[in-house]
Amino acid sequence: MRKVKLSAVIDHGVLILGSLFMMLPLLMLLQMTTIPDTEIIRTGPSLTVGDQFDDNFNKAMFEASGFSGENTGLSMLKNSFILGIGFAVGKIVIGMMAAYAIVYFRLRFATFRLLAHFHNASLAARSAHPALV
Amino acid sequence: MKRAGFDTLSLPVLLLLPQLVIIAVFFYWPTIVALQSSFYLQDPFGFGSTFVGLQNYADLFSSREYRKIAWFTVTFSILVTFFSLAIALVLAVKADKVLRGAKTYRTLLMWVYAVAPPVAGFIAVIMFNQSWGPLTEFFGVFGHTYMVGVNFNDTAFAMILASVWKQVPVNFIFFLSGLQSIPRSVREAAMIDNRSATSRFWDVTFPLLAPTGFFLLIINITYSLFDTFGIVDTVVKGEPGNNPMTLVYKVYVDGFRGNDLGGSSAQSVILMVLVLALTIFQFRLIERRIHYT
Repeated sequence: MRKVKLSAVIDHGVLILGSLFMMLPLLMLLQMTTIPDTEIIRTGPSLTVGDQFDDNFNKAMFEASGFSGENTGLSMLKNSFILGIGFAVGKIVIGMMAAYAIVYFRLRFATFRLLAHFHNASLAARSAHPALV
Repeated sequence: MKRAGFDTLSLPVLLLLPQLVIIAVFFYWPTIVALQSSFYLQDPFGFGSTFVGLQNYADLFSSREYRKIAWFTVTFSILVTFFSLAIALVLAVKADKVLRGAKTYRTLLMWVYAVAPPVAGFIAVIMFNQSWGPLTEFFGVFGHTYMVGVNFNDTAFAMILASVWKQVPVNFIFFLSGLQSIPRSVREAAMIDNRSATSRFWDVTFPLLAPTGFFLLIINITYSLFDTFGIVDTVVKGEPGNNPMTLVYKVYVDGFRGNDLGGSSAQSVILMVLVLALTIFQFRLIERRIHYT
């Protein structure tokens, strides 16, 4: 019985350590959204929760910036959302059509399906990072 | 593999056409342009170009800086791939095993999947801030003055840490679903035959996980070579100087910051050949030992 208990403790210990490794940086970032900019520059993240969350959130979402002065966080979010949905749906539809053609039809060049698969993978990487194309 | 008896040609061609057009426009065309411009020396202000043959390649192979960056990329990729796979595998095995709080652990461990690479790099920059970064202070306790952007090894460590942190959830999700698709009966049979959980893992679970592991190996190598661009960019703050960078980042720096399009094209051609060779090598050598069910 004792041995089983020890292994359970180790399992949970490993999982808790892993969760902390993953979550602590995010919690730090969350804390930083609640304090004013000047405090971040002076002292950085701390353990106290500030009262600036709504101000910082408003600034990030609705304050216009950029060259045209019309670029708010909300509009950028909208653009990213349109692109993301477009990429996801487009890739699935086009990839599915091609895969269907290769699997269900006797094609002379079907042996190149592996290559087509690679191109698909590289396409995915490229569309995720248009700057690298 | 299914082989249905449709012999019409128009439908499959129609189905394949969109994919082929995309591949041609976004892969073959840029490749040909890159190959072509790698033989030219471009005027930095865009007033034409001169044919220089293989000079761009010769310059790269004789450049000490390029060799240094290539070695850094190799080390970086191996470390990022190994640690993100190893950490994720350990966590997935444990998360698959525990009963109490399993859902909570899974949610917490998957959370970072939603973080973009540049944001991961930004978090690393905050963590290693010179004056108040939590990890800078942590290393300070041990008497090491951590300086991201100044000390080569410090910057490299920050990049590797951020890249591993970003990639662990992806691997965790795949490993966990791979573990859960191993039939209960197989595990129970193994449990009767072998008391040791460690040797049971290496003899039964690990071979059954091999297809997932192989897929993740390729995905992770591609990630550490290409998708860490955002992390490298935010950590070196666009000031490469003496900082570590990967080959992909060097392509960007030389091509778009240095306006040396020819040299940059030569680098991307070398990179493409390298990755192609690596992928073929993996499929030839490793995939043979993997048995898909």
